[in-house]
Amino acid sequence: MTGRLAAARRRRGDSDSSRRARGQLDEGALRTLAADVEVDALRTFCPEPVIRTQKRAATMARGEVLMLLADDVGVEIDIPAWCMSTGNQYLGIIKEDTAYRVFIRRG
Amino acid sequence: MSKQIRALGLLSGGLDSTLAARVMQEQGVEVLGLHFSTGFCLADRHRVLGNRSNPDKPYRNEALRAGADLRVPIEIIDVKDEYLPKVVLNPQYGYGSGMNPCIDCRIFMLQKTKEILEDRGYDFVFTGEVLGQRPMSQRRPPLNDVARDSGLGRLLLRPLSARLLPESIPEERGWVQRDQMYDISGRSRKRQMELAEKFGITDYPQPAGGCCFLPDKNYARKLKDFLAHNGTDVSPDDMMLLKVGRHFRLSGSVKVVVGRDEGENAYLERFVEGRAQVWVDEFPSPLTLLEGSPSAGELETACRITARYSDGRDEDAVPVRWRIDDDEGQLTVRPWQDDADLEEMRI
Repeated sequence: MTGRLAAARRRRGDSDSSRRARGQLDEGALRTLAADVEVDALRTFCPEPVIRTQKRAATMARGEVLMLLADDVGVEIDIPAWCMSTGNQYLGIIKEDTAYRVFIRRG
Repeated sequence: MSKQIRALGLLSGGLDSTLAARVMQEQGVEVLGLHFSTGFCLADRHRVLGNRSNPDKPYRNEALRAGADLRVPIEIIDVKDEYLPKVVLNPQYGYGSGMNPCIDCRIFMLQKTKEILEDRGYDFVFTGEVLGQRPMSQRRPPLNDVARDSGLGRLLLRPLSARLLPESIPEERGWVQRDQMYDISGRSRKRQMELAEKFGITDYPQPAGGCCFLPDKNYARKLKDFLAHNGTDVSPDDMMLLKVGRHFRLSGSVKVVVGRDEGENAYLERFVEGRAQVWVDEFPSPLTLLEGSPSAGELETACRITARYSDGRDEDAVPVRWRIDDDEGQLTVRPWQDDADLEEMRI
């Protein structure tokens, strides 16, 4: 990792304000967000959720929202990393009892 | 205005490939990182089973992490369906210590990379390979074989060892400067660590003997057994199941997979469809899956093995539940006691 990102990770907390500053939405806003595209990656393991997201995102228009449904715990860290590397915007995650809903805005 | 040079890099997220990408960025090259998903990635298994020392902190995908840190876009290339028949089962250059066709693997990935290079108009390809670092695939002859057989030839650049290797096209054409690349060789990581420090790269995985299941002798044995009994019509799920559990062969057509802990049981839960299941309700127990259609005797054996690995192993009789399609029932069995017999069945 570059020192830049490591330092940024150390610096930033995960408060509501810091999430908003990174363009993320709070859970209430995520729950009312209408996704343009849904990707079902339930019962798949890493890196399949990312592969499905990447494939579908490639066909989306800039600004459209994708909602990934997955139960692999890895999406919590993989999807933000994928967004950061590819210039897409990570909007946030809702953790349900048995699955995650991850929201991304196409960059 | 000069043309922006664009390169494809094979990026595993390990230190070498991360450094190679960083060296290219330093030279003003625009990089797209490719990460191949073969279905045999060791890290994927760790991630699925979870971080036992810190369950709240899942293992990360190192390629995605490196891409985020370097601001290099990562594309995951799914080659699972092609990889087994084309690479694992028919390697031109043979296997390493297990069923690892390392040279053929590199050739295959770089052939795929070449297709992307041609489709999308990239200029060259680079990897984090270091001369002499790996005994099978990173000696000088195999490095040459890989460049030739992938079709990339001199379009393939190894920035960490470039000054020890013949001049590549990117150097010849002035897209990158040879004197700003490196002459690293051998198994020591000292120079890479110094370079990481120079670039401010502090967060990278420790080398852990490779990133693939195939050199693992235990995995290779299970894979060979599977292929011997099922032929080469193998699904990605079949490959995934070989990664976990204790495996016992009951007959030519029936095998059992017994979870070793809670994480493996949870993993096996995802593969219950189309497979018989066996477990114990009265005691903490593994989940056991059966491959094939078991006879009554084989089902009883599976129940006895499951009881053997449950907390009821010292009981005289243990009630064991089973489910096959929509049928469900219970057998009360004596847990398997004879370790020698069990070892005979173990794959």
